Amino acid sequence: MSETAEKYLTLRGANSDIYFFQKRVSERVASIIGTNFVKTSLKTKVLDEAISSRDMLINALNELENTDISDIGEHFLNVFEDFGISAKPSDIDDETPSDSADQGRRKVLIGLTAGFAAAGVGFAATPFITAWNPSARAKAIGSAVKVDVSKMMIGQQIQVSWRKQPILIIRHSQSALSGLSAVTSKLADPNSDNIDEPYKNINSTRSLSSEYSVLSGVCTHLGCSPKYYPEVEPKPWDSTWAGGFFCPCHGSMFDLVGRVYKGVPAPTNLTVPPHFFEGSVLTIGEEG
Amino acid sequence: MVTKVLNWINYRLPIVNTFERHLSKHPVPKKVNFWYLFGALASIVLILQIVTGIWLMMPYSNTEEGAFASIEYIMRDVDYGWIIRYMHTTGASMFFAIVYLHMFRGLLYGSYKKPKELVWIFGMTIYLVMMAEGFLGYVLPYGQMSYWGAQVIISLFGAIPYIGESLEVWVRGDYYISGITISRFFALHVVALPLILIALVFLHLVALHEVGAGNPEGVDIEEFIDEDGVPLDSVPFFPYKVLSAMPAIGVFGLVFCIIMFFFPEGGGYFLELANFEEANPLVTPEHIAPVWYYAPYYTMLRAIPDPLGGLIVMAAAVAILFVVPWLDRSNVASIRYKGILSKIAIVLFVVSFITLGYLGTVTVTETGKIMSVICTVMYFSFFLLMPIYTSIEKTYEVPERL
Repeated sequence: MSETAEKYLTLRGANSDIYFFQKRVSERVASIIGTNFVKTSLKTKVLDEAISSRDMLINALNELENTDISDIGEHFLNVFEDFGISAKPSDIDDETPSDSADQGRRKVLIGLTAGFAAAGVGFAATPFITAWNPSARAKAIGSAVKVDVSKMMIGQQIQVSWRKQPILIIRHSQSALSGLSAVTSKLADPNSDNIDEPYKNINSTRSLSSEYSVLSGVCTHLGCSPKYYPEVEPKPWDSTWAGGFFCPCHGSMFDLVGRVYKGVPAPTNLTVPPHFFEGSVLTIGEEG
Repeated sequence: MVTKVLNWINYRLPIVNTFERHLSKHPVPKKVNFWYLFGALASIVLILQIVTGIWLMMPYSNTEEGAFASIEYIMRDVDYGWIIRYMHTTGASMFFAIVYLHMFRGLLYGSYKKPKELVWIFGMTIYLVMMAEGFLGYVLPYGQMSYWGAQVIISLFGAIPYIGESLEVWVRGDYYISGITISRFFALHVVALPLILIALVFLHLVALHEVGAGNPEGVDIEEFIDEDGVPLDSVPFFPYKVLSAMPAIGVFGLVFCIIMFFFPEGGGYFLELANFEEANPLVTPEHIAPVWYYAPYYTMLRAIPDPLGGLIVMAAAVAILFVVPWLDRSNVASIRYKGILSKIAIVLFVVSFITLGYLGTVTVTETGKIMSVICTVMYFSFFLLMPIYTSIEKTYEVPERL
């Protein structure tokens, strides 16, 4: 018994003292002796008796640290019993069937049952998961829309709704279209190589018309609607702004025909929806 | 008579024992400071949210045409509807304020140290579910911010490779955020998540009572116990903690009422002004900002110029909180006895978190972009460098008794 231990005993009472030692046993022993015994441990308040029974317990704990529970001496087991610790080797082992063939069959049966149960859960989950898909009614809404674009002024942008998504239509001036090449070096993907562009390399407007651009007004970053800022003037987000679209949510920039700038959150150019022109009537949502 | 009835019940269901064990006689450390109040305040606000939520459900209409109008109806036509709604919206902001302070207490005083890891993990799960709950609730009024906020958050799913786009449609149940989405979010907001939340709060408390509450000194009070196994440095929860918490609850109630009656919109931070306009899928508001309690994560999302990268960083920012118990290698729990490195780290962490929050509520600028990257790095450094600075610094000796 070290001096520190004696100090604890006299200072704090034998009960706390046992608690002090209990906190310092190895994890293996802790799992055997449990954590509750301290509360019912010492029945005496006489210091001498407390010291001797505490020392017996400490010896028993030391023994337990060094030997396996099945090899521990009978008299140590009695000490544990006095303290309400059930440190006897468990007798569950005796009840376990020793026949190894039975064990194997049991494992197979458990595996099969679990497998069937998992499949059953999968089937049962199907309606709950698929019920979240768009319903037949939601799918039916979303047919093509028609717009007469002849009334648009040069440089004007209008917005129509297709599948409740904003579609941006821009009537470009000739000077704006010829100025497009000036910003090419700042663009991430000037030729739309990274996306599935439906009307590639037909017009500089990226559409089927040489004057109008038709763009999906859904930012390719996180779905906000980029705003049209055609004027060529310094802007808070770009001091050399050459006109185009700016997304108010996360600051993505696109040029006048919806091609994305380098170094902005949006990864790709604005997409071009399926469309065709019949004279001045533009149809969005169908191929011509 | 009452005793007889109680005894009859207690014999069959140990209700009195449970009440004494977990409430009235539950031993708690005798010396704690105001940081230890926020757990109790959070449970009060949770009850408030449930009660006001049930009352709001009654006049609310979960349809695309009716949602926004029913909010106006609650505000104008239902007797005292406005106060119930403002209680709910103020409650949401206060809930987050309290939980942030509660979590910060955990970081300050090492409330996650062995054996309290599970208490911390349940708490973090509560925080995660609360964020989902807050988001779903924010969509329900179907105002402009509801719509565009939801558009941004749901688009995050679209950033996941291969399955992203179909996942997005699956979550919405439509090609845009429609009535189908609203009624689905409504069901999750009022039934599914609150049930999970209550279950988690129960687990959080049971786990806490198993290992015992902490204290600002980081002392293990169970080392010194009396003959009955009660820690010497503890007092029973009732009356000591209940009565001493009363003034604090009163002050909190006062702050709550001042906000609710005079600043329910919180200058656009609690209820965003753009949300007083009905959702319009064709027009994004000039300035999109999340409510203040999501702002730090939103800034991180914006700081990364790639949606998938942004999503990963944002998710990692929350996920990393879960593993704090294993990142802190210090041999002491409380910041009081940690070394200078930990103290500097936690100050820098607070600065970065608040700056991230501020940046999330303002328009993107060139300097803002650089600041948000710096602060994101600072935020992650606090956690990722924690194993290093907590193990190399010299700590101070913790007293034996509280």
